[in-house]
Amino acid sequence: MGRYFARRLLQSVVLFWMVTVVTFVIIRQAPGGPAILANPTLTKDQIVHLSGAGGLNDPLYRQYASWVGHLLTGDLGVSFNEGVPVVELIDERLPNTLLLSAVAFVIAVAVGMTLGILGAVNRDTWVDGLVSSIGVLNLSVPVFWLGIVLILVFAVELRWLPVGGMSQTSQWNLLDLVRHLLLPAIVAAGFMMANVMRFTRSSLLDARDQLYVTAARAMGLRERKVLLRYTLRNAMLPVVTTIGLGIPQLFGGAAITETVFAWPGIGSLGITAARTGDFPVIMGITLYVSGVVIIANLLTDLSYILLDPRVRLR
Amino acid sequence: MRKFLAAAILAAASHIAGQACAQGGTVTISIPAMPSGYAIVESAGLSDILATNVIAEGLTRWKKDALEVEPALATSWTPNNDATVWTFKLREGVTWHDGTPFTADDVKFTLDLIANKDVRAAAASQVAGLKSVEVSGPHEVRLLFARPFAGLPQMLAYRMPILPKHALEGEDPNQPSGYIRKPIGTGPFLFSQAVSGQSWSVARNPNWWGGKVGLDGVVFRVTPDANSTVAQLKTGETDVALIQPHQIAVLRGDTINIASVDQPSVYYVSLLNNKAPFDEIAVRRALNYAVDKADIMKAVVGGYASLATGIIAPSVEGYSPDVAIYKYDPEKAKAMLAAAGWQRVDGKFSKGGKPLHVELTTSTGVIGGPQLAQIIQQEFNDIGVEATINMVDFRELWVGLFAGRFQASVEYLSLQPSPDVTNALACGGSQNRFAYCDKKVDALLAEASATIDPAQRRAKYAEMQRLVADDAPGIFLYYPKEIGAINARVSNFPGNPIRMATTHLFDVTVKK
Repeated sequence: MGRYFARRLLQSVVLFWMVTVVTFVIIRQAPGGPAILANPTLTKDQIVHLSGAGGLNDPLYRQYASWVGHLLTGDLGVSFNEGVPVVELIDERLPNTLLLSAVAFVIAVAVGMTLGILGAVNRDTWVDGLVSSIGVLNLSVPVFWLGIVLILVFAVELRWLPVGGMSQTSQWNLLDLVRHLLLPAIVAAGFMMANVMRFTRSSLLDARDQLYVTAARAMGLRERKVLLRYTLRNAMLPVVTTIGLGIPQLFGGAAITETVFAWPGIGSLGITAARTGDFPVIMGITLYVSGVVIIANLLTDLSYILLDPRVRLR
Repeated sequence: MRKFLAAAILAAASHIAGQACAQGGTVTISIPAMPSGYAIVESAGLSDILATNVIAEGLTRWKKDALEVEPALATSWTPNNDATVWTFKLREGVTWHDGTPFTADDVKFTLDLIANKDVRAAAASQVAGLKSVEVSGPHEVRLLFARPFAGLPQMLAYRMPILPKHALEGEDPNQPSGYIRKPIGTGPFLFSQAVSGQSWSVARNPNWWGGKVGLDGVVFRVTPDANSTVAQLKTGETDVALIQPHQIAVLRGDTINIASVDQPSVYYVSLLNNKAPFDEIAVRRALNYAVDKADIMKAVVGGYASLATGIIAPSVEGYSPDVAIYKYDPEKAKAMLAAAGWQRVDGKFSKGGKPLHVELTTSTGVIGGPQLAQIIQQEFNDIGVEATINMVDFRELWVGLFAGRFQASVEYLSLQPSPDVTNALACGGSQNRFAYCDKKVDALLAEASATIDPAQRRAKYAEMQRLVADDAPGIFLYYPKEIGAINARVSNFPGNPIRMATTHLFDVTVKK
């Protein structure tokens, strides 16, 4: 277990390093260079004179070395767009993304599993059909479209909820926050919820025909107890994998959700940075997001041990 | 917790201020990106300009409803005989938001910063030729230029906010992080709070030299998505936003006023005048006749524009209405090419075996750019001129334009509201995207810049515009209108394009 953990950790660090190299090289090869110099208001002389400023003309390996050097001291540079340190920007925005993702995660797992169980228990009835339709709809509808439709219905027509942003007043207010959080969280949860639902349903149906379930029934246990204590626990393994793999998706998908709902998280920050060539911000966000993905994968693998004692890790 | 407390105190304070005043209220303006309040390097473009305008002031400023200048931090200005030396008398008794007095040193500091080669100042081209700034008294500065510069007062009104020397000294002028966290100015509103990615707010400056400010404050709300912006207009979550022509219909029937105003910008096809085939004036003129500008204007911006004759827009002082437009006439275009020695083989024009080929470069960063390129490509094909489209990233477009990398580009220019277009049209001009060079035009631009009498100046600029149109350095398409959606509860909103309008928000009132 200890050796396995050490090896996985080492792999993760190498992977993490490779992600930073690839991102660094790709964004610097983009045509046009950083947006600070592609401003139509600047003159030819300014562009020529300033293109070497900040080491932007140095060889790539030297730029990368300098970036890593600063990173080791906790300095991610200053945003070209906003003129403030990237670390401060991410500190301000990351909690918003974590809040949105956490609420979306809870909705996805809770609603997804409930619907999945409902579907499996009422197999081939109208309940099952309805549940499956919800799943397929959520898997196939693009996030930005669903977002706009919900805005039209609940914000513009019914006026129950606000269109976007995170707060209406400068004071912090729980009700206000919840009202702003509801629509984006539902949209962000959609895809993962559908996956959780489908895996829960099919894996429950698989487990129902296993011998130990028949044995439990033969011992006269009530169906409810059979389901919750035996079937469900064993059916959880593939569901946990889906949830684990879904976390990075949740994080990535939040970028579009955040843009549509003007939610001030690091997803919308990243989209703006990518569009405008704000190199320091792109690199900073890559660090965070790849970190989350790698850690989520690691935790998923480790959670197998807890769920299934037969899984041996070497 | 500290942040929360500060916000709570602030809210309470503005609440008390609101009760004390009969007017009050807050206007919310949608912007596409988080601003910095430091428009000198203009990283966030429009958002930076709008936000900076409410807290900072220039030496001169635009009138409320016209693109003419009036005094701001300078009370009067006088040029010498050939307009190479300008003396500005500064307003006395003005203080920065932190209480420090405003002096001539601040003006010198700001102009030196803008002219500094190591600063990415967006307005650098507007003070081209600035030799030095002399402080000739605590409230007087003299600007010395290497060339006559009669159009200086207009240039100073556009994105040249005077900055506080004491607050910026020692910071990196390209990214002054400390100042951006707490920007100050002399303007009618005080910076109050920035919530990253969400909003940038200001509150009334009770000590403003200009007198009483009607609003309690202004909130700039970051809304990156255009559809969400329209939804926010409909629900009243935002009061003011710029929209596109196709969005007007959606807002009809709501309590929203639509204001369309002329803006000093122009959409056109720039042609590289120093390389074949566009070194031939006949080819440039023929292509002008091949394009149906009126039709394009209707198709792409729904008619919210006016036909262009050159790069100076009608709303700018000095625009000449007496310049002829190349009227759509494909037959004439073909005849002109034939007369210039181009032969038509299988319906395609060529000379010496080389076909006449136009590659139209554009980007999605140019509003309507791809659509314009497609229509123009079709119209060129119709007269027998081969055309292809080259789509690039907007960053590549701007950098490539200056490098002379693109033969023909569908793009736009958003100029300072002044007829002094030396940078854009003079031989070797710092923003000349046409590689255009004409000695007579150069001479007229220089003479006009040395002429202080407004009527004589106007005549020289008119002659210049006529010459340029005749030379056809590019295919000028239209001057777009800026369309603003303004909630009906807002009154007295300035009638200028929004990047000038936000200097006058102190006059605005709202119904609560």
